[in-house]
Amino acid sequence: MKCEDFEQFMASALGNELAVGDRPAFENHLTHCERCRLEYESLQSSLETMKMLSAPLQKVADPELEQRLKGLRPQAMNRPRHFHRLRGLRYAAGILVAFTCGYAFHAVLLLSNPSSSQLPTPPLPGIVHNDEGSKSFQAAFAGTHRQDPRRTDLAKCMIAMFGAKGN
Amino acid sequence: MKPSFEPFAHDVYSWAYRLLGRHHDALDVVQDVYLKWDAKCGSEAPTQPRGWLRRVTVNRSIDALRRRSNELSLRVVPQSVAETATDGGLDLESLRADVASAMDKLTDAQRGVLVAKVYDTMTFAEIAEEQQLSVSTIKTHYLRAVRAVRDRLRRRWGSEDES
Repeated sequence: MKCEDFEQFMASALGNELAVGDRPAFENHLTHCERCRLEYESLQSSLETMKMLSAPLQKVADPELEQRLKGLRPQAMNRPRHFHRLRGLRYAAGILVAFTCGYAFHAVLLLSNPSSSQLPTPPLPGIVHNDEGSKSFQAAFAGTHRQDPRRTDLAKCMIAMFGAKGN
Repeated sequence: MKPSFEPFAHDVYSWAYRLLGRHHDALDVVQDVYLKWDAKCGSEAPTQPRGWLRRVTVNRSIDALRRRSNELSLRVVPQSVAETATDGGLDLESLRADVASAMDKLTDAQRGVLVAKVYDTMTFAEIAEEQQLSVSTIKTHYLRAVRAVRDRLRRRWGSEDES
């Protein structure tokens, strides 16, 4: 084996991948060529020295590493980018749903109690409780409720606004 | 679909730690690599994610080691190596600096091959497939990389011999 050919086998030998069939010729050349032998030994020593830089002992999948990665951009790791653009829309939808549920619940309560006109109506705030005046307002309020319970809230507000002025 | 970084996190940390030797420095590099990975995958995910991550990690680690050396004035020169050699113990810090300094002179491909072969114990065929190169090219890169490290370390050994 010539020195030029030896060069080609040196990488395989250093990488522990020298073919079994090439090993005798390779070792024979090492024995007879001091230059190539010194070259090979110095390269092998360098590799051994590099391997001294040992692998970490602790597992990297530890809470600290996970915390570091999650602290950077948690959304980027788990959610698609367009998820963030819909944030405002999500908030608005949530408020709308909450308002609708509250109003529906209130309407159900009113509808489920058809005899509410017979219940004593409490005096409305902001209204002067003149005996005759308050009776007429209460009657108006009860009447409004009987006709259309859904308008009770609006009726209340209007009576509170205009009825107080009237008295 | 964007590939996940989690399966590679341990390897990235391992490569960084081998070069830097410090847990928190390695974590910093993992963080930097993750940000670069996220930016890269936003446009086009690498075809060989592991090879890409290895290259980026080694480059970042070398940069970090260079900054550390500049800050702490630990850059190895033959005189300082001779001084520390008299302690009798293995000076891992200067060894890392030497290895990183040698790897700094290599091309990205040579660096990637060296780390893959030495630290990941991959075969030449596997590295060739990962880097989309021929096996003979991989072997050439490997030989050049090992020679560069040898030449850098030779200055260290030469100084120790003189002392």
